[in-house]
Amino acid sequence: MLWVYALDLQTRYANGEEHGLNLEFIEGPELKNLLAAGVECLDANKEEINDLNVFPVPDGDTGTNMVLTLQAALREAQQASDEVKDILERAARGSLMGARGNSGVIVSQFFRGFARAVGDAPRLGTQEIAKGIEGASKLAYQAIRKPVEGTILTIVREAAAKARELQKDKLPLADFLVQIYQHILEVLEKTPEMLPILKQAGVVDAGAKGLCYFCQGFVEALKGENIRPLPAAERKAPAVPADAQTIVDYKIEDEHELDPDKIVYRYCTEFILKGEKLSIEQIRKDLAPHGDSMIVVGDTQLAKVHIHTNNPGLVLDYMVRLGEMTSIKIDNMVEQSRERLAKLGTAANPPAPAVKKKIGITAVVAGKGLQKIFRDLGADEIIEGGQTMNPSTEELYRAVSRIQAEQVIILPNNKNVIMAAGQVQALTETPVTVIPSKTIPQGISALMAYNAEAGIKKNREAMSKAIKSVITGEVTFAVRNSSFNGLEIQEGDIIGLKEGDIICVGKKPSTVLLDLLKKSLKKDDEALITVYYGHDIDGKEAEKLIPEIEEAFPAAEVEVYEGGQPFYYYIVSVE
Amino acid sequence: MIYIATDSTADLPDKLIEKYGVKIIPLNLHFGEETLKEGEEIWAEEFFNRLPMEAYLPATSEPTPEEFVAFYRGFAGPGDTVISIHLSGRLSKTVRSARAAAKELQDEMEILVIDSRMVSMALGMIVIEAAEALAQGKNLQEILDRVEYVKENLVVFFTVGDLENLSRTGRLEEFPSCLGSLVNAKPVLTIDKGRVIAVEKIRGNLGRIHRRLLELTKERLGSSPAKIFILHAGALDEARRVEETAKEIFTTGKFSIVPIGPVVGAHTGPGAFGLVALAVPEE
Repeated sequence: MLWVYALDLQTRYANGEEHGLNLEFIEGPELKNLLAAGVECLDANKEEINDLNVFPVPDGDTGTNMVLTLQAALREAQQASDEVKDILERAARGSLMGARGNSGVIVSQFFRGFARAVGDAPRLGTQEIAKGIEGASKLAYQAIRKPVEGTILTIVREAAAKARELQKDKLPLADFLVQIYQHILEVLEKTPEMLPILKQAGVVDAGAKGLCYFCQGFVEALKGENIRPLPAAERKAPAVPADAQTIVDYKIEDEHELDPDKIVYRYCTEFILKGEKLSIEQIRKDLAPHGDSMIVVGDTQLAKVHIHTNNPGLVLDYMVRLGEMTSIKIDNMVEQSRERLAKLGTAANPPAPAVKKKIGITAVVAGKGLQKIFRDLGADEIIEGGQTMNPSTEELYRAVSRIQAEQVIILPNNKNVIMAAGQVQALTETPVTVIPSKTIPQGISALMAYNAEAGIKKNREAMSKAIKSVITGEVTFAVRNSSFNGLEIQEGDIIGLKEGDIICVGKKPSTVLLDLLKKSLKKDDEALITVYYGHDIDGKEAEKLIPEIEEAFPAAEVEVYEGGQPFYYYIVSVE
Repeated sequence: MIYIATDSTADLPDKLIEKYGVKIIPLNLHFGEETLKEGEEIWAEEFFNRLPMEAYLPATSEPTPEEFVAFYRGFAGPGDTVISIHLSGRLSKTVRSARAAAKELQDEMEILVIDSRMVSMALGMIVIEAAEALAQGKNLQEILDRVEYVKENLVVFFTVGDLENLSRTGRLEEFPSCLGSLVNAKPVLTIDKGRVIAVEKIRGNLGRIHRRLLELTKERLGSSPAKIFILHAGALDEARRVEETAKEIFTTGKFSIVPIGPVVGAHTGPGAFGLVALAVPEE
């Protein structure tokens, strides 16, 4: 796509009167194409961004989060009129709704800040762009309580400064943008010097690099030629998702169209394919013409495929030649949406709730057992997700709307969801309170402190206080080789984290759990230790831990519950 | 002459009743056909010893208006004033009977019936404070002001062994739907506007739960010295342990252990445990 557009520009400008390099303004239709080119460039490099995660733990992926956020912005922008103002405003709204993860939220701030600063300008020249970047930078810095340098924020601030500085040079637009782009590349290389954690991990900041890729796509498309490409990260990436279980569990986020008349492809088709030497890329290419909403993930042995198509037969016929299929699921979405509409009465008039609750609670939780526990403690709506799949602002907003309460409390239970949760207020008139819970145990403690009789202010205080009263430990596996806090970690090693910091490493989840506990509390501490075991742990095996932990900590009380969470063998709380 | 009266659910120890000359009307306890008057025919220790032998917790009933009339006439006469403070009208009809009797006796004496909106030693604390004010020679208005002050400033937290009892007898008005029973959570209860409500949930063993009650109490009291009652439903040993913890947490203050009586105990069930505290500003 990118090169097609570049070619198009070249032919347009090759005839003489106006060359890309001398272009003075970007107008509406071009702006849409340039945004698309930026998104595409980032999309093509997102795996590299994903692998820049500082900690080698299965986590919300910055690259994926940014791409999903930008795609939401682009979808809206493409539906706008050809007016620059309309395009920018729709992109801002789209990115707000689609914001996923902290980087996604910051990107949505950029769009909003840019749109606001450009205002009614009919075209974007160097002046407008400089103003826009300035606005983007300002809004993002305002929105973040503790801005951290060496991140995507530094990049946008530097871009704004450079744009201001270049104003006096009266450069042609393309040169102007190329110079800004080259400047931010230099800044990107310096991010490890600004943020020690990056230096320790030997990486540049993922969000910062993601933004650079977006800019690269944008500027290249404008200029109609390749400019200095970003040096690829040296670290080797494991294919994502990495192991068989992950592929089988990979949850496909799929919001089906509600209006049956608007469904273009009727059958939602999903299955797992086992084979040898599968090529995910090839499968994607071959299936693409057969439908939309396509997702293909996996590796050479195992793939999970999801596609909306009008002819599942053709899809299955093609796949059966590549290997063996299991878990085949085909749903007729037209039928489903009719049923759903019938249940709702009409789509426009959902049944009104009898009495609005005073305060509703929604929580982001992964794992059947943990979801049950959250419900039992009073959460009204559970949003599937967390560590490995960060829900978007829109998904959070929908959960808030479903509750039908006068006020809603959100428990993000993940540090990378807190900001997206903070954006929900911009979308709804229902007052929303985010209790910044970073872990599942913090979320549980917050719910324990919740008092249905008290007002929002008292609850906010009590719940915010409660999340500080618990220590969280997590046992998971390393997704790559690295060294941390003097620990040498090999890919696949079992690692123990205390409050998000890797503090021990081993080969067996239960051993690492005990080690983690020994490093977190003293032998005769009177504590309540609660272990939530994950999807991959057998219940009986987990129960066996109780006497072991009790022996190590004779004064402590130990409780073990099924959490069912993916990726994390054990989540443990000490309070 | 001014008299202070209350009912047996104030769970006042005999020593205090004698010291202040407080008049007590008993509530009734019904083990099947057998009816016993609290504090006259059955006492806390006996009650909790007997409970394990009973299939059901006994029912309870308030004194009738006639019993109240006889009660008031037993100590007061023409020209006297009775300040009659009782357990929460949302938990029992005792206040209603008292008011009916007061109306009946309106030409004979002045009876001021006060709904304490509390029960057990929380009610007891209000009564003691009123009696203390009376003993200090305060006038009627001053005593009533003191009652209001204590009502507003009492700190009450408690837990029960099994929430089922309170809920079954209708004393927990809004049964919290989100109990957290999956993770063995227990609600921390308080009495608010005369009714029993849950304020938060807590997990873990008794030691942890009791420590939390003490912490919550301390949070509410601040740093001022306080009078603190440790209430227990047939669990004296546990109450003594709590007293030790209380001395660690509160560096100042006076602690007394008080048993929960049979009538309140018939609703909380055995193993209930509570704290009633009032800050006493240094003079």
